[in-house]
Amino acid sequence: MSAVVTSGLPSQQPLPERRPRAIRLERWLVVSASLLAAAAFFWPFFASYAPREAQGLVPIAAIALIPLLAIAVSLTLDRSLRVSRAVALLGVLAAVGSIVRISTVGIAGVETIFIVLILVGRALGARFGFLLGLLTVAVSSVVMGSLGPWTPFQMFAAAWIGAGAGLLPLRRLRGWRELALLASYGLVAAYIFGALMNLWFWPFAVGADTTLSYVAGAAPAENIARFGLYTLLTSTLTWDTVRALTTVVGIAAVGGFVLRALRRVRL
Amino acid sequence: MIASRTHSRWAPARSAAWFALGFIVLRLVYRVLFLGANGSGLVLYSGRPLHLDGPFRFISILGPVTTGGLWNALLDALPFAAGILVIGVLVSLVDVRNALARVATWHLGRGVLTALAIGVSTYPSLVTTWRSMRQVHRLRRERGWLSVLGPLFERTLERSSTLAISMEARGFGRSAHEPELDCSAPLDFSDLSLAHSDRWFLREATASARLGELILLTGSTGSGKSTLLRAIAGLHTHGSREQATGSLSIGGADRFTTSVATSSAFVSFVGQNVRDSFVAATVRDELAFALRMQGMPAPAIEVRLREVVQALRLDELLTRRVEELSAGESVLVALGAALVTRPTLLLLDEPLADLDANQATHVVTLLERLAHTTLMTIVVAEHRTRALSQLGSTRWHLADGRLVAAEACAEACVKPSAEAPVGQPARAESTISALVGPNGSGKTTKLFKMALSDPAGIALVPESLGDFFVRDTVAAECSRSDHTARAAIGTTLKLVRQLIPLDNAVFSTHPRDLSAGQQLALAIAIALAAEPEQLLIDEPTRGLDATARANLVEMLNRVSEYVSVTVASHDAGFIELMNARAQAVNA
Repeated sequence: MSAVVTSGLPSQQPLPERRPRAIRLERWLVVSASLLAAAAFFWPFFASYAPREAQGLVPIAAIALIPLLAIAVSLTLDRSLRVSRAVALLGVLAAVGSIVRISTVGIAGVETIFIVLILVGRALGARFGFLLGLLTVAVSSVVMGSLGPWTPFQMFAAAWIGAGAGLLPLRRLRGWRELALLASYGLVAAYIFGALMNLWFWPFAVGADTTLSYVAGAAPAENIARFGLYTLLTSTLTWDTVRALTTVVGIAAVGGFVLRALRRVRL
Repeated sequence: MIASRTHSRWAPARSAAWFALGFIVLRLVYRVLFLGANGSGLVLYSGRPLHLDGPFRFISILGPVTTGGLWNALLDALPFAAGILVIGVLVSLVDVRNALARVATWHLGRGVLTALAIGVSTYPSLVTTWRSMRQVHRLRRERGWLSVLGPLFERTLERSSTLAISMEARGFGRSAHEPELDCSAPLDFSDLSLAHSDRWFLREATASARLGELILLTGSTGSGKSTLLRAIAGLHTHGSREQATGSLSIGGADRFTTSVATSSAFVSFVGQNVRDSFVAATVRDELAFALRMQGMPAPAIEVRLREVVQALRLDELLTRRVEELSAGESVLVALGAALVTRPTLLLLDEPLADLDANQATHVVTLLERLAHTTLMTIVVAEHRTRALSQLGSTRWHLADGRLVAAEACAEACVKPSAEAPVGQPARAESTISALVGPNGSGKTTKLFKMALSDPAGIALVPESLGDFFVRDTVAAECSRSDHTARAAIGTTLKLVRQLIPLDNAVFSTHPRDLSAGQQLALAIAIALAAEPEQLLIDEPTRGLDATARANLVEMLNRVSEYVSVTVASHDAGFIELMNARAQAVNA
């Protein structure tokens, strides 16, 4: 039994073996669930292709489908959470993200959640960024008591942004260049997030019978034009711009030390 | 604002009602703006609509508004608004936070759900830490909130690894078919050497423990007591800078090849920062966590909980949220969570440090009873040997990396008498005053109130020294202190040297890596740099052994010749040692 134990592993416990096939399957499942979720966001543009008698059901189907997808994708990724360090880190970072999010709620459109999501996604990878996006929205909604039909939509949009940060190229980039890359991604992501959130909510928010309304059965171009004006008016020029600026300033201010601290952590 | 949101049960329903109302108003606004409020009834506005062109040619703005049109808009908005409200009411009725704690024990989706539960229960404690760090930084006259963010984030990441260890040690990730450990040989090591960051804390130690043996592990601060306990608990190789030679076995199995999760039913470990190890949201769920990980059925869990609650008198704490517990209460809960699995081997690292006299006596009696009646083998590392001196226990004493066992210990070991001032002339009355009272009596609150009411005249050295430091080396800390105190360059450094002898290598280390005594000296020097009239110190004896305490008393006596010193402490022995004027705080 006498032996020198010089540990290089984070834990003595042998990590559960994950075969490449299992990982490929997981990736495939997450991508398909994401595509289905995207369909639930983008339905207003394609609903005209549905049979006429089913068109009234499309919005209801979208709202019912997305929570189920959120659960399915969580269970799929759960297989990668067999190591206690990953679970603890994920939970704690979701709490950090929630604090950051909640502490700035109500300050004219300032939305800081992306700062955390983008930095973590970059440092710890796409899968972790995806999970953190799902969980941060879930935790902050539970804590704020603001669960609603919007919650699963926000979860997916946040998850995509976290995963996107993990998929960014130029892995070796460090220092201010890396922060510049992340800040530009944050700028784009902030606008995309705003547009996505508007997209699913637009038909419900405006209701029927206005000239800005989603028209079931109309040509996609017509609905896209209506949505374009809706999103420009409601958020792109105002909230989304403030959100994009906060994200850029936030990443520039804290990005350096947050990335350094996260990279010291091994999963 | 955040606190009130988390504690009112109907808050989700209330905010859902506001969301629903906002939604209806929004609908009306869109109808009026985009030609959608036209209909029967009274005409409220009869302007001509404005038609856009280009890509927006489908859209018209304004136009007639009638009561009928508005009524239709209202009816149209109601179903979705009702949906929002229903979800809010459901969330209020179910109490999502507690439901989450339940669900986190399911096997399916356990990882995600546990992470979610951790997130929800970490949130309030992070808010508390943020506030207390802000407060402590205000004592340092640090204004901006950016200075708090870095240390807070690092601490949060540290917390996540403590949490991970705590989960694993209580059976998270344990498979159904773990090998059984042999209860007749709880602990055995020979020629065991342990190193951390190239420093050998233990050299070729050999000892073993019998069933039902109660072992008191003594030794000065930094002598390696914690290192040994962590090695027995299986945590010695969790970091990357640790080395071990020799053999160490628990329950007849090699510790170095047995995973923490495998031994989770056999050994329980209560470390020093128990608050960071809480996984669940409420005391009840925290106590039950290990049993749920073992897959025990709910009625059996209830029986075990009742047993632990009775033994530790936790009745009133059972429904509390873990973040609301005081330091002493947290230790009792952590002890309960460790005992609930009825371990064969129990390891406790300074369990008495945060307990007041009554609680300490109760815990000591309980440990003795457990060892005698249930044959639990218990190893306790402790400075407060006076509280434990009544135990007829075995002693292991650590000094210079050597482990001296019971018999040989008679002369060398720390005795209760060593806590009394040796060779000091009895002073008539010290100028130091002491604030005494049991745990949770509001000593800390009072000190903070005093210090923040007169920041220029009163300086406070808080209990959580780790938060008090804002730079990553001692030298940087000193110059930062000179700067914020507007003192001449080198003032703080000179003060530190007057308080405690330090070699130059220390100045490039991280303040948090200093020994407890050195940290205290540095913090006192920082507080004195601004030349206050009064110095307040909160619970300075935590983590100090007898020698370090004697040094502290001497240091405080010297300081009290220049400023008036007030010390808050629950440690009666220390106050006696200082010969201070005691003043009680009543809750």
